[in-house]
Amino acid sequence: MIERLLETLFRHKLLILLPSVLIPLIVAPIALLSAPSYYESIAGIWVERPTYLTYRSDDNTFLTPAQNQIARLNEVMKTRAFLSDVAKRTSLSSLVGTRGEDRAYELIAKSTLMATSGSHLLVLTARTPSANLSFEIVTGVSEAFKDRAMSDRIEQAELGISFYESRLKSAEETLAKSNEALRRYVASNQRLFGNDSGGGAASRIGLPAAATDPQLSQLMRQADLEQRDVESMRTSLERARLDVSAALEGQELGFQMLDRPQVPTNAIIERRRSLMFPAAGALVGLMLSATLLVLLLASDRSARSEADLLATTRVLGVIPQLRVQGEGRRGYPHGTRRAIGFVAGALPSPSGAQ
Amino acid sequence: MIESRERIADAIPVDTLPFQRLPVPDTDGHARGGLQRDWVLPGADELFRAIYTRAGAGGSEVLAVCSAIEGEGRTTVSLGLASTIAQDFPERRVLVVETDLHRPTLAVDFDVAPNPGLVECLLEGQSVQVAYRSTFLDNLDFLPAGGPTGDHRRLLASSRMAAAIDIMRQTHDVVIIDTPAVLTSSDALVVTDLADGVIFVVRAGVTPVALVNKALEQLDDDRVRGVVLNGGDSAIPGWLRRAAGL
Repeated sequence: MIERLLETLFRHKLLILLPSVLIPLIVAPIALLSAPSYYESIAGIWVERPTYLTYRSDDNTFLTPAQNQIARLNEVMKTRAFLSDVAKRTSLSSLVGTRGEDRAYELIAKSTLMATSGSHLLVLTARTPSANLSFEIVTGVSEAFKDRAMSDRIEQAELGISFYESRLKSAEETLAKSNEALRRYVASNQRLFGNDSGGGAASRIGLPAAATDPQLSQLMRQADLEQRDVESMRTSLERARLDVSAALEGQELGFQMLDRPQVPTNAIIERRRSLMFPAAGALVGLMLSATLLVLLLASDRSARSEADLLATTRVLGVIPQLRVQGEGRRGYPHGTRRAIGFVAGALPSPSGAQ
Repeated sequence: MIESRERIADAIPVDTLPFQRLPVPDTDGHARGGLQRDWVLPGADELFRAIYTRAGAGGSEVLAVCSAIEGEGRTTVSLGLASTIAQDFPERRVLVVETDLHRPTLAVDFDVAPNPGLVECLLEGQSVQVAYRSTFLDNLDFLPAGGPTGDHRRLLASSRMAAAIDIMRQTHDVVIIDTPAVLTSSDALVVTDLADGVIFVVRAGVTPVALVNKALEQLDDDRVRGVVLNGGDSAIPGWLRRAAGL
C-alpha cells in the first residue's frame, strides 16, 4: 500500500504538488495587498493610590494598581453608558442616539486595547483606520475613565457626608430633647436642689441630687450618652469630609497622564493577516494535494507491478521505460521502437518490389 | 531508393536517434563513416533475452505478441525479441510480421516504403516472400503491414492468411507476429489462433487489470506463454526505495 501510495505520489508529483504551491502563491500577494492598515495612538497613564488616604478601597489587594485599573476599565468598557460617554468625546458623537451608535460603540470597544507595563503603568492603545479617530478614542477613553472615577468618588463622598450629617442632626435633636426633659424635671423639682431654706435632702446629707433621685439620674445619664453620640457623629463627619477632600486630591495624583496620546502619522500594516492567509492557503493546498493523492490512488486500477498480474497469469518480464537519451517523452515510444529497429537496421530485400 | 547499408545509415534521421556517428571498421579493415550499431538502450537485450527464455521461445515456432488495447508496446516488444533472438542465434532466421492493419508502424520505423506488404500479398494472392524486408542482421527480416491500410475486413481471417503463415514457417525459424489489440480488433484472436504461442504485453500504469483479465479470457490459455509488463519501472526514487526497503 505504501509502495503504491509513493508510486502514485511520484508519478503524479507535479499534479499533486500543484495546489500546495499554487494556492499560497496566489493567496500571498492578494493577502499582502489587501492587508488592512491602521493607525495606532497610545497613552501611558500612571496609576497609584496615595498612601495618605484612610478610606477603605475596593481594590483587590493581590493585584497591582495598574491591574486594578484595567479590571475597572474592562468592566466599564462593557457598558453602553461609558461607551456613549467616550463616543461623545470623539468624531463619532454624531452617531450617538442614532441607529449607528451600536456600530460606533463596537468600534470603540474593539479598537481599544489595555495593557499593563509594570505595576503602575497602564497603557491604553487605540487602533482604527483613521489617525484622528485613534487619537480621539484613546483620549476619550482615558478622560472618560478619569472623569467617571472622579464623579464616582464625589458621589460616594456626598453620600457619605450626607449620611453623617443626617445622623448628626438626628443625634443633636435627640440630645436637645433629652436636655429639655432634664431641664423640665429640674424645674419641676426645685426641692431636690435646695432652693428652700432647709436645703434638699441630698444636700443635707452631703450628696448630689442625682444620688437621691433615680429619675434625675436616668435623665442625666441619657443626656450624657446622647452628648457623646453627637460628639462621635461630629468626629465622623469631619473625618468623612477630610477623607473625601483627600480622595479627590489623590485622584488627581493617582491618575497621571504620563504619555499623552499623539495623532499617529504612519499607518501600520496588519502583518498577522498578511501571514495568516498564505498559511491558510498552504494548509488548504496541502489538503487538496492529499485529497488528490487519495483520489488518484483510489482511481488507479491499472497494472503497475508484477504483483498486480501474478494472480491471473505468468509474468515473463518487466521492461522499464526504454527511452533513448535525448529523446525525452515526446519521442517516446516511437524513438525507442525505432532505436530497437535500428539495432537490426533495415535493408530492402534484393527481391523487393520497390 | 536505398541501395546500400551506408545509404540506409545515412538515410535514418540521426537527429532523432542520438547514436554516435563513429568510424565503423569495414571487413577489409578500412574505417569508414557510419553509425555504430549497438544497443543504444543498455541492458535492453538482456531484458528481451530473459523474456524469450522464460517464454520458451527461440525454437522453430510462430509467436504472437498481443495486448488488450492500443499503445501498450507490442511492436517494441516484437522488435526487441526478434532482434535479440536473431543476434543470439545467427543460424536461425527470424521474421517480424506486422498484422495491425489499422495502425502500421514498422515501415515508418525502419524508414522503408510500406508497399508491398502483407495486405497486398493477401489481396493479390502473392507470396509473402516478395514483401520481406531484410535488415542489417542477416537472419532478421520483417514484413510490414503494407497498404493502403484501412478497412480490410476479415482479411486476416481468410485462408490466405493461414497459407501465408505456413509460408513464413517454411522460410523462417522464428516468426513473431505483431497482432492488433485483442479488445479492439477481432482479428487479433484469429491471428493468435494461427500462432504456436502468445506473449501478452501490458503497459504498466495504463492498462487496467480488469481489461488485462478480460483480454486474457478471450485468448486460448494453452497458447499464452505469459505477460510482459512494459514500462514497469518505478517512479519512486532509488534512494527512497532503498531507505524504505521497497
